[in-house]
Amino acid sequence: MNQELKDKINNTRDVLLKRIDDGLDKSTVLRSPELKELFALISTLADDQKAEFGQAVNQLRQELDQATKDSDTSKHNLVPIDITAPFAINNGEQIKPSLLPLEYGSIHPLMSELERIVNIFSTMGFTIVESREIDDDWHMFESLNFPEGHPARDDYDTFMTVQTDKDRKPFIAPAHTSTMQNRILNSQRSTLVEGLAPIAAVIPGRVFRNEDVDPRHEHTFYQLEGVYVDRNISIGNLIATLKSFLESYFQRSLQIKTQPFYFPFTEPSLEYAMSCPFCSGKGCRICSHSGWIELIGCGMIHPNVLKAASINSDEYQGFAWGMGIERLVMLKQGIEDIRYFESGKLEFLRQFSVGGNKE
Amino acid sequence: MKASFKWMQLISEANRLPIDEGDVIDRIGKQIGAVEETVSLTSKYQNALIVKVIKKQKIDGSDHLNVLEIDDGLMNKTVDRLDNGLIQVVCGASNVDEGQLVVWLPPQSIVPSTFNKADPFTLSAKKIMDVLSNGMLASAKELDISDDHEGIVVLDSDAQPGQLLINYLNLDDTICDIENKMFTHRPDLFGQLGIARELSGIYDRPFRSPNWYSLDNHLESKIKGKLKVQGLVSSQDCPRFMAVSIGNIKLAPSPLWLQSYLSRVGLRPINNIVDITNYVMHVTGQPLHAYDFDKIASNGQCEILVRYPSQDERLVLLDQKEIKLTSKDIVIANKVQAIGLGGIMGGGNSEIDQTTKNIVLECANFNMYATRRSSMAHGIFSEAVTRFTKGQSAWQCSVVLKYAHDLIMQICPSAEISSEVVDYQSDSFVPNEEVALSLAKINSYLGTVLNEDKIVRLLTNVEFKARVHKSNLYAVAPFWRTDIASGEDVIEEIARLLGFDNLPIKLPLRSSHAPKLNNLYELKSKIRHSLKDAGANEVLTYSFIDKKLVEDTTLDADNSFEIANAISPELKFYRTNLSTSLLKHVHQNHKIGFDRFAVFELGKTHQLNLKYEDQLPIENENVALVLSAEKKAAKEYYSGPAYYQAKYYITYLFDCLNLDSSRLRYVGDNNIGLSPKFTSLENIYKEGRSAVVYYEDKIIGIVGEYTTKVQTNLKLPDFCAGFEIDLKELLSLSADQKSHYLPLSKYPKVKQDITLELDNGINFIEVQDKLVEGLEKYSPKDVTATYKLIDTFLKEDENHKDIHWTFRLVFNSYERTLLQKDIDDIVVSIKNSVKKK
Repeated sequence: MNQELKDKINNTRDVLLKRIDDGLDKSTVLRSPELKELFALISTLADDQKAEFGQAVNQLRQELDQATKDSDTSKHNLVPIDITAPFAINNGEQIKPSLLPLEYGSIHPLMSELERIVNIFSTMGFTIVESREIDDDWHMFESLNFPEGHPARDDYDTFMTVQTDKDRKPFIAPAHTSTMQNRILNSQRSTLVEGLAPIAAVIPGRVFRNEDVDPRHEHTFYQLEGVYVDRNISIGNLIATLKSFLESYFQRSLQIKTQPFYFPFTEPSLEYAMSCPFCSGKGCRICSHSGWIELIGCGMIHPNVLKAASINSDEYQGFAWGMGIERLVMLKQGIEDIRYFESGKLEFLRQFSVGGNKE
Repeated sequence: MKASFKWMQLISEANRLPIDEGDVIDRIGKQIGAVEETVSLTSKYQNALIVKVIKKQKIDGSDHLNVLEIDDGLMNKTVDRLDNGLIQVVCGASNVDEGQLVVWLPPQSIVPSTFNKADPFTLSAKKIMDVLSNGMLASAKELDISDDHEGIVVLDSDAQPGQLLINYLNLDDTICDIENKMFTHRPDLFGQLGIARELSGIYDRPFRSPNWYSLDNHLESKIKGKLKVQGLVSSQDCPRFMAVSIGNIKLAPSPLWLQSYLSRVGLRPINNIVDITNYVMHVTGQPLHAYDFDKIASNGQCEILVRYPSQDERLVLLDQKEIKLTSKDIVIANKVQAIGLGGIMGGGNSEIDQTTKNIVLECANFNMYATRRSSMAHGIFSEAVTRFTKGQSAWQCSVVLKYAHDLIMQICPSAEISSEVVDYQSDSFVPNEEVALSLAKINSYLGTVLNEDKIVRLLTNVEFKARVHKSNLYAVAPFWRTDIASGEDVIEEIARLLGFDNLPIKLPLRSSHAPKLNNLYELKSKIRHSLKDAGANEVLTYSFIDKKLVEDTTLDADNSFEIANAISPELKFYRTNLSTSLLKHVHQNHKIGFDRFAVFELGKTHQLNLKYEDQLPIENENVALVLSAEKKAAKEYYSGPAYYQAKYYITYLFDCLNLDSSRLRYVGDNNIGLSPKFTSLENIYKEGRSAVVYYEDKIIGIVGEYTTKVQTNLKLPDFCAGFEIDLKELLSLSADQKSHYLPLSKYPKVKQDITLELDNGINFIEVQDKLVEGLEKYSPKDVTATYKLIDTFLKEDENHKDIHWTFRLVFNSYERTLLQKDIDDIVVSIKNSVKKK
């Protein structure tokens, strides 16, 4: 074997051993282009060099194989262990597994707030149905009275998938929890029609909007939707139900004001504001000194939405609402940046632990 | 949508609005839509005064400055006057001349164009080239009316020296910006007329549209053979296309009053024709377009086609942008080429300019879906798009065309109609139908007891035709409304005009039927609280992950649903598991000083390899936990592999959920392929240091440490492990929940430790099986025993490794007091039976 070929092997060895040292795994090393190149070279050589060089390359391969195994175990001490055991074999200083200190632990502030909200609605007789994170056009738009191509769809900058549904339409990352309405109306219709109970459900869930992220905007956020359907339901029922919830939630009496709005799936549609619970409507930093906090979009369920779930809108009426959770939590806790919620920062999360800020 | 109070008053030809502006704004907010901003123009223009230029004299040494003496009718009380009572101002405008009526901004006033800006400019009395100038004369730009800065504004002779500009131009106005979102279904509210009518209705006062706003008012012409229109698109896409040509146009700036109205709602005046089309659009909501007749006609005749584009057809728009037309665009064209994109924007080739003498004025109706489609396809969001996408009424085309024509005649008196009035109508627009509904339904919906008079009045106030017959309401919406199709729409109308806040509020009554519980939600809540109590932190991470994380964790991207319109590459794929999202956040938290922690997430995952359910992708519900400690903390708090720590959390969780953790089995043959739900995790867990978690024969999850590659790429410390468990499987186990309760015995329990010495290599589960077998075999019938591993010890000499397993046994009998001898017998027997070979 001439010097040139020897150098080639040596150089490759150096390069790849260095990479193994850097933590590259076995399959990546053994399939590296450098090694492949050496193998490819074998067939191009003259017969007298072929055998010797081939042997040397194979040797190198074995060497690298062993090196990756050694590296794995030596660097990270990852020898196979008795996975059936509850703890490791005592090597002289045994400390058995333990839980972390209780005061480290925390529930995500959005989840603890959602639980509180959902609990109140539970006591009011609402069932809990969680929202989906991937849905189809029918549930997200069509069944909610957004016909294909309707300009109102523009208010919902939805993410769509490359993969498509049975109608060859992309799947959708829902932009609102209303995506569950049609399912709920369908699944609870029989209870309604049999006269046992109204349709009453709340839908907590994660929703998505294709928008740029800044301290006040997130592409991923949480909503709580509610639907209620029965005979003789009035707009005043809607306003009163939400008021009753909010007063329970904030543990105080509140003033309510509403504003006309437009959603395709409710008629009429309202935007719902409460007197600021933090300053009793006098005006403070939290309510931007207006005395009011806009919180909920709501309305009477559009007859087409009831129809899409085979509910007769002459006999039954209903109301629905949706509220964002982040804003509520931000207001309550004085959180300045919405992006913290999904940041995975312990600096943020542990503030909600028993230990709180004391550490 | 910006509403101008003065403009509304002007076009509704009467001062119907109550004086209290605050109340009006409040009512707009409550009953029309959220008010984003209100701007009072009064303070912006309060000091601008109309003056007459009495004398003009060139300043020596300057090529353009003049010193003027102006007459302000002695209105200003603070300025130093000349002996003749006039005021001296220096002016550089080339158009200034004696005898002109102009606008003077006195010292101490703020230049209106800088009003409300970060750096407002306050005028003073100061010397320019040694000549004292008291304030300045204003250009249209300085008055914030247009971009014209060529010279100062010169007013018509109807202005009076000493008159406030505010009074002359109706500038004691308030502009109220209402959020467009509210009007998605209300095309009429995109004009001042619509807002004025709505306000009137809210105040329970009858509104009557101005005389010109009537279907009886339309344009007529006797001329023939000059203009033709052919509709070649579907009847839905273009319901109506009207046009007329007008000749003898003298293009000029529009009068100041008109410019002033446009500027209030944020429009920049351009020329009289364009300004009139914009003015009319802002009054009625109906977009119009003017083409240069001579640019699109041939031989003095013009034929307009409303058609779809031909293959690869292109069009340069007014804004000079060239677009490639898509097959569904609606194109306005002559015989030769496209001259506009219907409902969106005119073409550059037919734009009116300084040479324009004759125009074609278009007043057409385009379908909201079609307009949106093209707007989205080309990314154009013009004022016309905003209005057509709300579904304008095709009925008002004739009315609006007439109104625009009349304004052109008024402002450009030389103009005259030079063609027939063409009116292409498809069969797709029909009169509003009568909607019938019972008064009982209205009152039930509103929770009210409104009588028929009140209901009828509320509707007729806003020009509905309404009557009641045998307890039923029959209502017909006026021609400009396109949103009233059902009884619910009429109810909304009544409710909105009444004000939602004025409706009686009352909780719904219901039976006390117990709602169905959501077990999965409850399970998640329990897990959340249990893990919190165990010092772990719940995190929420995005449902979408990036390609790099996929590569770093050797996941299979082909198994992910992919986002087609991701904002950034970081949100490209639906995640197939939660663990990798948690692992991504480990390093950053160590880096800022958290030396040990456990993070967990409850969430959904999606995988392409799973079958669909109800034609939708299956949503897995998982809980994942990752615990990690930096070297120093790991040494201080733990010994042995992190694997056991993760496993300990699983046992803890099962105990918290009242599930039998002793039925869990940990299988290490990497046989995860048995459950497709976990295929995505196969690659990230380290062989030999991880296990598939079985509950009896059911796979419920996976636990362990991570591969070297994952560890390296995500910079994980050596002490790092976790698990991911399928919550739906976990939920199915709750049927197995059982009581751990044992009746109390009258006799004392006896504790006894036992150490089994076995060859190294025999694993715990085998040892435990031997112990259980021994206990069953050697314990007397009346004795029950529990056991727990409390210690292991590796004993090593030159040629042999043994492990000493020490269990704590607790014996109990319900029949007698156990003697030490009974226990010793059992223990010795077990020890002998498992003695190593």
